[in-house]
Amino acid sequence: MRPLKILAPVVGIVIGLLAVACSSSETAAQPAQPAPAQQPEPVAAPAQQPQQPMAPAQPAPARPAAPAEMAPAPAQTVAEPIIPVARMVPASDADTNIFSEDRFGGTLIWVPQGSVGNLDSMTSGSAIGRGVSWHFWESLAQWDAQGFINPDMADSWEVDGGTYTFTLRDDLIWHDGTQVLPEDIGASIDRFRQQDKSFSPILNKIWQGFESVDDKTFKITLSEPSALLMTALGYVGGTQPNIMPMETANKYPTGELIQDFVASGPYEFVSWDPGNEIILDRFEDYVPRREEPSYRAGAKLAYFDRLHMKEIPDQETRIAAVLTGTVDFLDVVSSDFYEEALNNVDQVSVHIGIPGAQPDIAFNTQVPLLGFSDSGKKLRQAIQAAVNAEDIMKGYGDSRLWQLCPSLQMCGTPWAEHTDNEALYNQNDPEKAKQLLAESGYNDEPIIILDPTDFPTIHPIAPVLQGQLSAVGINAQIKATDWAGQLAALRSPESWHIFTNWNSSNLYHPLVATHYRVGETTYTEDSATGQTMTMLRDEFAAAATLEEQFAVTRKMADAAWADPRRITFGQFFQLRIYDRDLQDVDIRGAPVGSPLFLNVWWGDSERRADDPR
Amino acid sequence: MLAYIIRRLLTTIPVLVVVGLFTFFLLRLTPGDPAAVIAGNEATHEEYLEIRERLGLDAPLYVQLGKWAGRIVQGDFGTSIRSGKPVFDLVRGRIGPSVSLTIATELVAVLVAIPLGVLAAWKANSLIDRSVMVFAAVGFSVPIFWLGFIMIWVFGLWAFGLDNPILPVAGYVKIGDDLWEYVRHLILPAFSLGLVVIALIARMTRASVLEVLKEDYVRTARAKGIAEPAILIRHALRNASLPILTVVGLSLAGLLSGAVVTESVFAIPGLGRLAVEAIATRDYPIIQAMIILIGGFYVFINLAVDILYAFLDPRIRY
Repeated sequence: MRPLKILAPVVGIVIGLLAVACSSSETAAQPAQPAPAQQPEPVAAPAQQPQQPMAPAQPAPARPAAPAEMAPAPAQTVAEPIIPVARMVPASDADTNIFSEDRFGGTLIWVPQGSVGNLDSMTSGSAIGRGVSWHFWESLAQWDAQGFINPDMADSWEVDGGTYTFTLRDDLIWHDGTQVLPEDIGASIDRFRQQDKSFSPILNKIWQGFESVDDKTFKITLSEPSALLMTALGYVGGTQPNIMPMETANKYPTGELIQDFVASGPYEFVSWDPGNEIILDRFEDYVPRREEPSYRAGAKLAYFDRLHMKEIPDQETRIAAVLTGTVDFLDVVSSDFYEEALNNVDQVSVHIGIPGAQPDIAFNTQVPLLGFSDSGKKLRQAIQAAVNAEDIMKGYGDSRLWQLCPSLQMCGTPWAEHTDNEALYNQNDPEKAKQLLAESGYNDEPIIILDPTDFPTIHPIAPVLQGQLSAVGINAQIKATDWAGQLAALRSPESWHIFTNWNSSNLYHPLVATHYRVGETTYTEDSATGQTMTMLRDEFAAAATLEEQFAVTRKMADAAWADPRRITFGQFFQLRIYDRDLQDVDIRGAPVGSPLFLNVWWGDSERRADDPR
Repeated sequence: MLAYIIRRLLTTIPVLVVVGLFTFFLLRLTPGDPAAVIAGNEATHEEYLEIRERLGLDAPLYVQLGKWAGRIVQGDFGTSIRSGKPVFDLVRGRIGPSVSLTIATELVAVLVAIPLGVLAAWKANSLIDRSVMVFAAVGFSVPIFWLGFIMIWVFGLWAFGLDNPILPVAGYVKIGDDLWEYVRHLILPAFSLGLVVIALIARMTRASVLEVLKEDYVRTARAKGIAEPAILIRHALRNASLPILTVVGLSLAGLLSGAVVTESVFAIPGLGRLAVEAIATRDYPIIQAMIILIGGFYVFINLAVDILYAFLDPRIRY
């Protein structure tokens, strides 16, 4: 009897916990939001001129004894325009006193938007872990706020045909005090080329080899010159081209999550308690670059003694925590709290992260009903015609927190005008939908819409979409699940038809964007559009100028609009709330995407005086 | 007694085996698997299958079970699929906050509920009794998360202004880091979580004491002129303590394993949050280890309660 007496409550607990896994939850007990597929990156607006070449970096100590001058305008290596963007801080506003001793000190406590799953941002595309890792990992090159690739660990590079000769910057050391060597770079890039699914499939075709020349110089040889190399080595979204010690790269082969975080960035890894907190301390021996800070490029100053990331799963508690000063910075707050934040602007700063992310749906083209046959295409076009994007976007709250966007790539970036289609976006045309439906031969088959109810920024889509599709005679049904359940459903193609999701950082470059990909779950290789996309992606890789890339992108977008595999609804913005005393949160010019606390500092000297180490 | 304890400890083995088997198979029946979560929404089917193979999820269930059981026997709970960290380390790191919250809550509950229950029994059917029972009914009905938010609002945001919150609204401080802050951080969650336990124990105390107060020996004690407080505490409460102890024991185990809501609301990195995060990402090794641990808690606390019976009631012998 006793074992049974004991077993009963235990079994109850087991069933209870498992029930959580099988059901939705939007209460205070809601599990930490799963990491979204991608996260937003910098706002973009066309730049007029490519950035001037960079000067060799002037080493400076992490905490120089006296203020130093900024580096002169760059001069040598041509920075490659990738995404001519943006929210660049005007030169006149640039702070020339960034090396000042009186900015150093204190602790910043910030709350991420969800739970950090891992810190191996080369393996995982999760935005939350990636954002944290940006403070300690570095890359050979980095994006600036204008969307140009700038040197970072690399001091410069020269291009001779397909041969790229890199020189590492001076005083580059790992957090364990040893020197960064070309062998480390080679091992890191090898690991990256195996993990990365965006650039590397094309890059690997033209990759010929890596060669160390001396302790600071190495060569990468391609069969032909390609702008993709530097784009890949400095890209900010998806899997990251982090540079790590050779031992680390070799110890954790493809697919294995790195657990050793010896890196070379301005902050060094101290500890990580998964699901709770991460602590990073300033790496005192870090020698920053001297150029003006601009997004991830330029001088990266670790002003805080300590960066303390603290996970708080509940939105109400997060708000209370920032208002009472328990924490200093909230990354991505539910739009429900926008008004409350505005009511407390004497206490906190409110920031809207534009352009945010694009909610969308993807069709399951693996099932014949929605496949690449004529009837499948007609049915997908019927759904495209039935969609009222504005009604769906209203689910994202206050109208100041979202916008309509007729482009496949992020509105606010230069790619937007080359991927838009006013005629096919937000049609809200029931009659056209019904006509296409009839032409498709649709016979009231159920159309299953996956709805991850534990994902507040995806869940608004399904209920509204179901109503719109039902209105034109489609037998739309919602299959409610959690995010993990939705991902699992993907592996059973017969169980669903429409996948709800949102995208952001993968919409900043056509080769990363999911809209034009070719594969078994996207445009299949044997489909007409798949063949077109394959040809155009190769054309893009070979394009010599930005204008040529824009032209090819337009063709890819036209093909994607005509044979819709995804339907986008608009863009929702992300709300951030932080302590008013925090200085220069915007100085790097791209305070969206994962937060970057480089060059951010406390204005109050008392807060700077508190060194927790 | 020693033989009894050993016998009871031995019975935990089949209990934990059954719990383990139950967990293992139910998890595999749950929609989703960790490979799908890792693969994300853009991986090809081939990549997904590679991940399954790497995690050993492609093997027959009995093979997976055998490997898992083999590791458990050796004290190896495996590695978290999501973070790559040893499960043992992750669980160990969460025990401190959960035990602290549990003890603080139980302490609050016992200190408040037992006097209230005794008082209600002593003044049965009076205004005091009815007030205590209304309080208990309300305490049992109020959602924990709602009460948590109200407490955060009152003590954190409202009472003395945003710049001077009386108590911290979120987080946990280790006892070794700062004893005073440790206590301050536990006050709000303990009272928030404790209300329902107070209600439960107060009702049970009232019923048990009321029953005992009708006994002949209580009437005899009163006839002998023994002071009422002594009658209530020494005679009534002690004899009424067995059912109260049972409720306290069960609530202890429940608090330790099930304070998910409170841990989320007050951002306490305890076992409940770990379990929920693991479930959300289908991190099988963590979930399995957690369930075994929770099973162990229940077994241990039941045993402790049974042993305490013998100390409280001399008639009970094992």
